[in-house]
Amino acid sequence: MLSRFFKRSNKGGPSEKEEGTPTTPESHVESASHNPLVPCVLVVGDFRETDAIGFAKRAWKKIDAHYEAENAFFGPAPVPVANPLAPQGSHCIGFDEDRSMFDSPCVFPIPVNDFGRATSPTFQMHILELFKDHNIVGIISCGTADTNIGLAEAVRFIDVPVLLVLDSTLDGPELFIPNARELITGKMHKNEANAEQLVPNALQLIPNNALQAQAILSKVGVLSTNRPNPVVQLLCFPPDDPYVKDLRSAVESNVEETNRSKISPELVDITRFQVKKNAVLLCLGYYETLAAIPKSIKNCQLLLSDGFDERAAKSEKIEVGHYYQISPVFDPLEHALDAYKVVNRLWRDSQDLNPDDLPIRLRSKIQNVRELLEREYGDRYRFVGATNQRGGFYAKKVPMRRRRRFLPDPRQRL
Amino acid sequence: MSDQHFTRTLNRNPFPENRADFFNSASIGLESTTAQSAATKSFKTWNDLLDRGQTSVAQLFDKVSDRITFFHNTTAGIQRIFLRLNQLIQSSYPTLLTTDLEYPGIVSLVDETWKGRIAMVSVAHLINSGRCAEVTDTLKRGILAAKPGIVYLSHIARGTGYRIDETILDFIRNIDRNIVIIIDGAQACGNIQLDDRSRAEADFYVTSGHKWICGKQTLGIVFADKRWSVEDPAQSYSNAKGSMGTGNSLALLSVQAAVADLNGETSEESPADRMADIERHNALLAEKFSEMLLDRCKLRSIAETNIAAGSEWRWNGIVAVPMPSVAVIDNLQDEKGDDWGVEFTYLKSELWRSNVGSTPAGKRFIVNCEGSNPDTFFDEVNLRGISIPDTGNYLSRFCFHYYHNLADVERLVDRIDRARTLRL
Repeated sequence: MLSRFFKRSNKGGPSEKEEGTPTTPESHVESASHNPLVPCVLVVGDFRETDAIGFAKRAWKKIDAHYEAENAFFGPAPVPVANPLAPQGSHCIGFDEDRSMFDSPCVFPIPVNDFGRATSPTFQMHILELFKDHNIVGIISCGTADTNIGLAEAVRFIDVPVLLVLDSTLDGPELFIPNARELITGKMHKNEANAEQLVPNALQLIPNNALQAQAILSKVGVLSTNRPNPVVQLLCFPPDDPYVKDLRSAVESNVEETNRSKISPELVDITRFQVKKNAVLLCLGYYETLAAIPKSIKNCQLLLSDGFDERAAKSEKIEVGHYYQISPVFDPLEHALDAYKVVNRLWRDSQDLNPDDLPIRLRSKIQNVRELLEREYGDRYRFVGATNQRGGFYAKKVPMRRRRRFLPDPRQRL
Repeated sequence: MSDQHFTRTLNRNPFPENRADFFNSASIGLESTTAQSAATKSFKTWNDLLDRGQTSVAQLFDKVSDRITFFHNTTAGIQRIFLRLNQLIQSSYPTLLTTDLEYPGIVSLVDETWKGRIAMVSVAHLINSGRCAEVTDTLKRGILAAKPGIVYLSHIARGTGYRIDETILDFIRNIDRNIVIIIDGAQACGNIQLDDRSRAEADFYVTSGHKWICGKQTLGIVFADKRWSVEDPAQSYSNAKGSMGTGNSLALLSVQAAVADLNGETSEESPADRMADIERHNALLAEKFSEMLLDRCKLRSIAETNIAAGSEWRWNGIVAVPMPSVAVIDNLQDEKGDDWGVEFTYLKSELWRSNVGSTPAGKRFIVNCEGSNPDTFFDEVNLRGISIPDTGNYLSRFCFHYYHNLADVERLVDRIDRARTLRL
């Protein structure tokens, strides 16, 4: 069942991997067909060749490269299966039985493709099957809010740390049923007995949408300066997407709470798309949102939320010289790698128990992860509750990369 | 082992006359006359009495007497363990994993006290249907899937006599050394030899003084590293300064004398040799009983069901047999004319817990590793009012201990055969 979702690579190095080719066992690994004790971490996201935002693939590449650089103790990591109908391949995780698995500096990473359908029972059962067969010590979610909704449903029974890397949705961590209360900071439910239901078993490494809204409105404020009657238009698409809804809500709340009287976003209906001249157009969505817009964006200042990826710079739909991309201060890929490293560290540390320190054995793992992140990567992590307050977002000016079609070639004019 | 072994009775303390008809050690063991008379003897001080008791019991474990703590009963000991865990955990609530083989009183206890989730791995149906060979793998998968912080397992299941594969303890330690392991040895201690693994890997090993150890009711015994501080200052048994409450000297004196017969003190053998001998004896009688029952009465024990299905069965003193009707059970238990009633346990349908008391917020799940979708895999339940899994066929439990011999087994089989005939 596992192999439906990923296949083993047949080569040692990441650059040599070829998807879909069965594994050739190497001499130093796979002496056992499958060792359920091998510590594994799931890297979850959308690995499809098309229709995916692409982050999961880049994050996986980074994690896999780190695992390989640390000698791939448990054999080469699997290659994500891009096609849900791909034929089954072999899968096994093992190591030389003469060595201790605790010699490994890293846990075994397993890519899990949600195929953009993380809320399907098939995906959720697949996650349970992975847990049933493997010693999974953590989950690194490199997916969107939709991925996390499905993932939270799948692991609602399981006490395993989940590290959210990409999704900045405000209530993302709260989706994950917790077993720990430490992360509550001054927000205890009136009925404490229900704490188990309320406290996240996840940490959001990327700053959340409240911080993104701050950066957005700060930039909108700058772009509106010196305009007597600034017009700010707001396009939210897809409107029902959890991330889009959450970010819109954060923006609107911020406007209200900070009493930004000059900024009064007008909602734009995508079916009657009309950008006002010299307006500031704020788009909350994904790269696919651009394709849904019926006509080109021009004569405005354009801001795109962090859901848009670098392909926007080549989009035919944008006919302005540059736009502003809201981005997290720290590259989400670094967050993905931090997540992997901290899970490795958590696993290794758990082997060095101090027998006198019995309560340590009973602490929640998410609390240990949080402390490790704040201690080892203090410049990037400082958590309040489950959300990271370090870094935040900024607006990056991005020039359009293609030549604008409607301008004649200057040489022809000469 | 030849049949000669069965014809002898192990060297032991003398037991009352009814010992040949007493097959109920898993419930309340028979007290030897030596233990009975020991209970009437005087003692120097309460602390001296405790020390002697701890020293004797420690020999059954590892001779470290400060790892032994007495309680009023087993439930009190387990309550104390969970109280300590709750204190140490403070504000985090790991998942507690157990199985559906446990004693309902313990399930009630954890359901009422554990604030985190409880995952109960479903394995009883495997044993009841002859698939006991799948229990260890199923349990491992349940542990992997639920990621527990606490694991509570019975060393020997009270209902069927199924003995866990002790390698599961190594497995748990290898996946996460932090997991707290509690072993319920109520049906193991005094029945089988406690191996090094059970002692070393379990954080808490719990047993009773009045079951297979054959002491007076109702001491609970907890074996744990002193750093867990399970001593209960509210009980005199804790032997701690400032301790309060009452203790039962009769039970302590009796248990000390009873244990001395099991740990080799009386017979001047090593504890390991003595208990290995007793384990072998109990297992052989149980196996013989099961075979004879099948041959003569066409009644198939749970053990035989598993063996017939190709599963290995680790014999010990407990044999569980689905009886044909409640009338047969009544006939067996009844004292009529020159027949003595046989003492054994009819395991009637039981509930995991009644509606008394409260349940904290943590969810409760039956973990069904054969589940085909998330909701059947982790079946959320309310443990109140749920019947525990049984064979549905008047399951009866017979216990064979070191005071039995082959003649006792043959007589029991003969009576069961007659009880069946009476029904007809």
